[in-house]
Amino acid sequence: MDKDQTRQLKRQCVKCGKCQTVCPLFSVRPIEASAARGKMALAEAVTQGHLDESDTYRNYLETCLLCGACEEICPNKVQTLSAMLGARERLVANGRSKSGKKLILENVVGRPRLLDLAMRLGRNFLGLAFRRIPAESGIRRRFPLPLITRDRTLPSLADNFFTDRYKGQVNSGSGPKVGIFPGCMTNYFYPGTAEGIIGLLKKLGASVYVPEGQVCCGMPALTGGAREVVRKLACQNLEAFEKYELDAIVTGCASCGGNLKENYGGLLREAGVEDQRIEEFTSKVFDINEYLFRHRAPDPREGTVQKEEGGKEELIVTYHHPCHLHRVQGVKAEPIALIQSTPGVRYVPMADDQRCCGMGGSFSLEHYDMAKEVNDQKVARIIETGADAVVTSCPACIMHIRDGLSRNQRGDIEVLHLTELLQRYDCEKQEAGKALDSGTRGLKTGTYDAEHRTQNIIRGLKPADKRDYLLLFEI
Amino acid sequence: MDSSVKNQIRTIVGKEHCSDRKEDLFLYSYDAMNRRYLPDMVAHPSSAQEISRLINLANEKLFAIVPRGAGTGLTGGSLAVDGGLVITTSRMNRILEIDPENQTAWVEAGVFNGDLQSAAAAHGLFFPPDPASMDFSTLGGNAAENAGGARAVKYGVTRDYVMALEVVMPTGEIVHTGSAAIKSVTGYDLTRLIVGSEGTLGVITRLCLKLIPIPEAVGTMLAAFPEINTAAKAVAMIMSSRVTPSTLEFMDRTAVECVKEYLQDDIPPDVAALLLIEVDGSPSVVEADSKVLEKKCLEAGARYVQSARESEEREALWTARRSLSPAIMKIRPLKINEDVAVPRMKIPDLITGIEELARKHRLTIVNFGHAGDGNVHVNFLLDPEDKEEVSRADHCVKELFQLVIALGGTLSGEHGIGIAKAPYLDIELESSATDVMKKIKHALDPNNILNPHKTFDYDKTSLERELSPHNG
Ligand SMILES: Cc1cc2nc3c(=O)[nH]c(=O)nc-3n(C[C@H](O)[C@H](O)[C@H](O)COP(=O)(O)OP(=O)(O)OC[C@H]3O[C@@H](n4cnc5c(N)ncnc54)[C@H](O)[C@@H]3O)c2cc1C
Ligand code: SF4
Ligand code: SF4
Ligand code: SF4
Repeated sequence: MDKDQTRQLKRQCVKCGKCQTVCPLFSVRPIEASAARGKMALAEAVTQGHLDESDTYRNYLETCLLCGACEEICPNKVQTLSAMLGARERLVANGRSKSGKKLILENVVGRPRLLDLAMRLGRNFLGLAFRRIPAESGIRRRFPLPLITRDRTLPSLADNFFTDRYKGQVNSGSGPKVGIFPGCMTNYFYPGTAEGIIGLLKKLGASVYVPEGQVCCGMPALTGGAREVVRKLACQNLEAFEKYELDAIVTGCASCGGNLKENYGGLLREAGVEDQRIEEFTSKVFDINEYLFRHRAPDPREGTVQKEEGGKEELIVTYHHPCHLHRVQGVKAEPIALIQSTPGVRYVPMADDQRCCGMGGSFSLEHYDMAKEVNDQKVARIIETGADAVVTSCPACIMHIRDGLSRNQRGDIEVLHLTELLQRYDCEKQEAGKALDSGTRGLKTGTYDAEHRTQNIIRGLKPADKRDYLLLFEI
Repeated sequence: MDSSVKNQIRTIVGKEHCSDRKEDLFLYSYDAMNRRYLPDMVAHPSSAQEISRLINLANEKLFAIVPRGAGTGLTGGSLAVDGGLVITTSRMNRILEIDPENQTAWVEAGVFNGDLQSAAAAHGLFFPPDPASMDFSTLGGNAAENAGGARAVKYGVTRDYVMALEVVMPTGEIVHTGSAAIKSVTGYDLTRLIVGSEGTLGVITRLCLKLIPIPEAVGTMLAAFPEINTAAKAVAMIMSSRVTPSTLEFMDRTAVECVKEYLQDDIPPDVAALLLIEVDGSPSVVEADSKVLEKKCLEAGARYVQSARESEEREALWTARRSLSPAIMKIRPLKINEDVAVPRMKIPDLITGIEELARKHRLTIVNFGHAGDGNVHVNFLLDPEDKEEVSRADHCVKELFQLVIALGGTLSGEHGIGIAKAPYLDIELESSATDVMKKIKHALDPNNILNPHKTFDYDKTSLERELSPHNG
């Protein structure tokens, strides 16, 4: 390692405080613990032996969206995100993470089959517990989901998970071989997004695969500090995708894409995978925006917006940049260009469009109050634009923004994944219809039926798994 | 501080608004000087009344009270060197009134300077003091440090815009100083006494600030010079011309290198220094003045003068400039930052002198700053592990101060004395002057409870409480 690199690694926070100007949490809780400066100070005090890894310390450290805005603005280029993740990993390694959460991470997220079952179980519980809110579209449900304790508007679990419906090769075409990595949220909540991706890839003439054996990308476990768990998941995903000898791997989830591109290299290396295999895998990962932009989008400078034949009114849309897409992957121009080149759509930029929506993965589960306040700022910016729909490119953002809009009585503003927008305005009619309905459709499961099914699932579990389930419901 | 005192503090501010948990003490142990002193407790009071009660308690039980704004100070002013209670103004952050007719604003001390700027802009007004930290430092802190900024060359510093204050005195009384009237000579000018007192004479809770109309147009230029000396000469020529720029910022080559990622154009290798110049006023004035200054730069020997046409270009230049202070830490992990100031015609002498010092002591020195008002940030970049280098720097700092005083200048243009410069105070101030200050301090704060051991109250032993970066 040369001297410059050593310096780079040693580069420490100089406590200038500039990160406070962009930290979304600092804007709602203007205390020193909110922004990176405070978190860096605490982590330093711990490494230097002045402070123990107490519960308060853990709580301060975990009260963070991991949105990366601090790292982006830091004039001293301090790598705040990896410093904060590193501190979380040490908490886990030293047995200092919250016990329930740790068990969930290791036992559920780390064991794909269990996660899958948990989601099925959750889905059946929804039937028992949901109550309607008077939302115009009727697709919003407010219910206590197993992992979520407070009242909030959440998407309903899909009737059919994406990977249940699509396995192996799902389209044969003469073009490139493309594999889809839907990611958990898309798979369980928004299969329509992934179906949209199939549709769009089909149009490109690609051979499309949904590799069997793929599992969660591991992002929640990684932010929870359970690096070992993610290493295992990374290996499983590598193997699942390698078998198909693909030309590209695409995902519509900003967080998964960021994780696969940025973290898998290090994780797989730690697991002893050879560099060449790693490179083969990670270099093929694309966010769907990137992939579409490269393969089909017209040059944005030429892309003039045309009204659809027949005088259909144009849809005014604005765009929210998911942190894990624009900051982690540097994909910002592509989605805008795609929107601008979609006929019948007019794009209006929103203020602070690169500011986090307040979701921050499991952050919003534990700190819903703050997540809500950050989200209210985002919602205000959306409303200001006067748009009919807000488009984004991350299922987590979609969920959180939908929640925010309905909380602010603006459920009339649609929240769309970019692929949904493209599908709706850009695809053959029948395909579009099919793709859309499964993504946004409400619950159909009857109450008694759900209860019955839940009982059956629990009965079918092995005793060890049963214990893990009970844990799952405890948080 | 014993537990009964802590309980009384809890009763005054509410227990959710104070803490003595070790984690919280660490969070309020530093400022941007990046040294650490642990307080015994931290409180976030919500009003002058609460602060008054805390101060009364401190006088009764004899513990230190240390006011803290946003903790962006560069001289350790908000550090609890003697332990005690840190009180922040973070909950006193309301803009109370903007009066567009009288062009004044009433704010609470914890309002960020940048938030006042946005609120004033909505009325076509602005608050001229613009420290580079304006988006993340408080108006109370700006007043306590008498902060300056790039616009000081034309518009002056914080002091010039504070009309009236609400202050909690070190003996607990809540006092209103000054007046919202532009002219006021009733009694001593207590406002000016408190402004710049670095939290040692009173806790500012509210401020009445003067605003002025936003100029119609701004012209921004970047002038590049082959030598530092020619840039310094240009500064002298500009400042003696009939045009007063609203900004005249200087950066040397190394400083530019540290922020070049923010700049849109590459800086040619044979450029040794840059001047960032702005003029403001009506569009025709801006155009005419820009021409005058451009000519001066070229006469002084500038390689080229470029103007920022788009507001985006201007934004980029300012982002670069405002990022300088922390960004130069990229070169070396330890920075000693001195913000000396000299009468502006002496800038060329100062710059030459600094270059000589750097050679003599074999040190990396980066210079940038508000050349227009003679204020240069001299940054010594060091490797903390190289003890020999650090001690060379210590000598050099002393010689720098001697140079500055010989040129008729001052130790600190804007960052204050705090603990950083306290040991050097006698280089500038004659003992009769410090005596007057000590008498004032003693008269107002007989028990020495408000921010002790700062400025002239230098105390070596209390500084030794600093937490070392290593275990132990
Ligand atoms: C990147 C960077 C750039 C900077 N650029 C500039 C610059 O261009 N010009 C400049 O002048 N400074 C600059 N500074 C220094 C600093 O931002 C200023 O000194 C600022 O005024 C401090 O405000 P604060 O709210 O952070 O106060 P703090 O750092 O919290 O406190 C500073 C001092 O004021 C006292 N104090 C704070 N609030 C009160 C109150 N309500 N009543 C009484 N006393 C109080 C404290 O006790 C302390 O002594 C810069 C700092 C950084 C990190
Ligand atoms: S993380 Fe960067 S921006 Fe934040 S205080 Fe530290 S050095 Fe400054
Ligand atoms: S990652 Fe985001 S939320 Fe966390 S400290 Fe940085 S800016 Fe704040
Ligand atoms: S929810 Fe979206 S915007 Fe928020 S952190 Fe996650 S990816 Fe970023």
